[in-house]
Amino acid sequence: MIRDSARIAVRAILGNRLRSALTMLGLIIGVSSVIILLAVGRGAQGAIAGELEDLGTNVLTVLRRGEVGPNQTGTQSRDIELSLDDVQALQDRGAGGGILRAVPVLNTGVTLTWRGATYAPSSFAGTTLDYLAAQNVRVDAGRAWDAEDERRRERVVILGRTVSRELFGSENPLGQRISVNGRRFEVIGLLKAQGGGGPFDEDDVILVPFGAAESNLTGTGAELGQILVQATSQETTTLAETTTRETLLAEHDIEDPGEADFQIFNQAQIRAVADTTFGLLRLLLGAVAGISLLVGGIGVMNIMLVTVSERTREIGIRKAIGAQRIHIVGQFLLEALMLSSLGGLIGVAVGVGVAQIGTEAFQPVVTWTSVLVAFGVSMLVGLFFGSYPANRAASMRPIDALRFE
Amino acid sequence: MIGAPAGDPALARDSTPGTDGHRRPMIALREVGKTFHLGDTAVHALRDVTLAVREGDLLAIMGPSGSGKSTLMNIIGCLDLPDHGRYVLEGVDVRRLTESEQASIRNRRIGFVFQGFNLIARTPALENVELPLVYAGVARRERRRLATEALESVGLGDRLDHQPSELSGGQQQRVAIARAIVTDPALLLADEPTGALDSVSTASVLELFSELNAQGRTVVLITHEEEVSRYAKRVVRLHDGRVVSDERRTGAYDVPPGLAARTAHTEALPA
Repeated sequence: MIRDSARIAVRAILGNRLRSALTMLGLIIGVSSVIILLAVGRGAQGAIAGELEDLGTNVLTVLRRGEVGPNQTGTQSRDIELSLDDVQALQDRGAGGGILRAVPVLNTGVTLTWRGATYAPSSFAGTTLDYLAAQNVRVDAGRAWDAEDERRRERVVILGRTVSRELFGSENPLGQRISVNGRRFEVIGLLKAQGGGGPFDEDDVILVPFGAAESNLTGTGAELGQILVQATSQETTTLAETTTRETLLAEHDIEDPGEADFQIFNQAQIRAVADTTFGLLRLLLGAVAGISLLVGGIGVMNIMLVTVSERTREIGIRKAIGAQRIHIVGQFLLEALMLSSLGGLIGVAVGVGVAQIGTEAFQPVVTWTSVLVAFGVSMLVGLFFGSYPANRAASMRPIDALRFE
Repeated sequence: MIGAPAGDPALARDSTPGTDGHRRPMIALREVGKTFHLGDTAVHALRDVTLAVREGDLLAIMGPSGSGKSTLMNIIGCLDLPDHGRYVLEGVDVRRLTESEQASIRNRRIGFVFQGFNLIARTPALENVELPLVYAGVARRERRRLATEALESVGLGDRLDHQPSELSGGQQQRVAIARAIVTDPALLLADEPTGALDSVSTASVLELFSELNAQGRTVVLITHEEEVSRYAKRVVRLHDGRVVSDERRTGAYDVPPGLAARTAHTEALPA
């Protein structure tokens, strides 16, 4: 019986090739967009997670309280909250407190110019050589500055690849002198490309020796933008966090930890925030794709209704020679299911195919779950939207159906 | 269900003149009426029709268009229900049957032949003939055998794989007849079976009905053509939804139908 219905359905689908193809197109687009959008979401999330991994999970970032919040305005700033003394105190606790190194970072907005080209990188760090180790980055062209440069407050810079490209284009930046907020600095090195595009571009960075930044750009004794604390290992990260908190509370003469004027972030927290953000993004993308699948289903219903009314007479004949209700329902439901599952299969192929196209920033990741869900939903859509037309066909009275011309 | 005792002695009295009386009627209609409503006007398609058809008869129901003969056929064929009156088919009151039981009766006990052939398009002759067996749940191999036999018996053993569009009108009607007899029904119902055929095809199709009747099947032909009625053993005439005459012909087969005398009909096949 199923086999006979299947043959009838195949014949009907092949008998109206263009119409069948157009019906399936809706589902093909729906299914493939579910797969592609979910793969893009997953890929982007993976890329960010990978970059966070690169930073090392044993690095803590200390910021002033309110630094990341909207409630701190410039005029309200009190005494210096994060200072070189804090860095020294953390450094002094050493391995016993789980701390490998503490790195001071001066942040300020800078504008770079070179031969008329101007560029403002998103990230500026006046820092020590330890910064490279803590951030797990290295210089792969030219050289990093050394202790002597640092001591003499040499005006040298290391550029990220994005900054280098924006400012110099295809020319070799090494040895060139650029202007940083009006002061002349020499480009001595380039950071290895990190990858990651858009707002997460880690190559959009300029590094300046701490002393040189202090003397030329921020002024001596300036507030530190952040302190990076690297734990001796991943396992000691929690210990290092506790040590850091205790040390800074003591340094700042604060007794109640709730009153702390600083915040400590670890990579796990940052990652959790990123995961939440991307989870939401995926949900949104999935919803958009789901809607297109729904629209595809309505297309199936539309065509099945047309098919049913076109084949009214045929339904009448079948009922006259003894087809039961279930035979008619089964026949049209099977036809809708075939359309939707064939559309779903093609959609899977298209979706998986398109998802192979990656960008420099990240590669979309197709998961089995998304393929199965997309295909399953397209079948359900066929079943759901096919059942109304099928029932309508089965409810026709044979006499009315036969009389239909 | 089918073939259950009538359980209603009143039915015996319904036997109209012309039936033998000692055989149970296959079809018994008593005061059957059917009214259609077209807007505000009521059209009385059938008014109190009482009719009994015995087993093995070859009955022609005649009448001009609008006389109610198609409505009568639809009711006899369980495609439609009467508004009032009783219809007992093989001892079963049709009005008491569910939709599914009616479908079952159409499938196993009645074979339909329509004026427009009503074959399923894009489907080979063999599959068209198999269809009632599919709905009856007959196994594939058996289906194939029975359908092939039925097509052979109507002289189309060499056209099994032809689609309806590849067959002439007469051949299509033969396929339809094969489909009607493949479940070995007791009753064959034909609605203007020759209406779309030329004279040669008409003769051969009518001879086929005579043959099937000779094998013991009850045949009811609905027609408005006098030539067709010459094959019948009994002719019932309808007018305005009433039976106006009911005559039994003797030696129906001896009467030359004279179809050859009929002028060539243009072959009016549905597109």
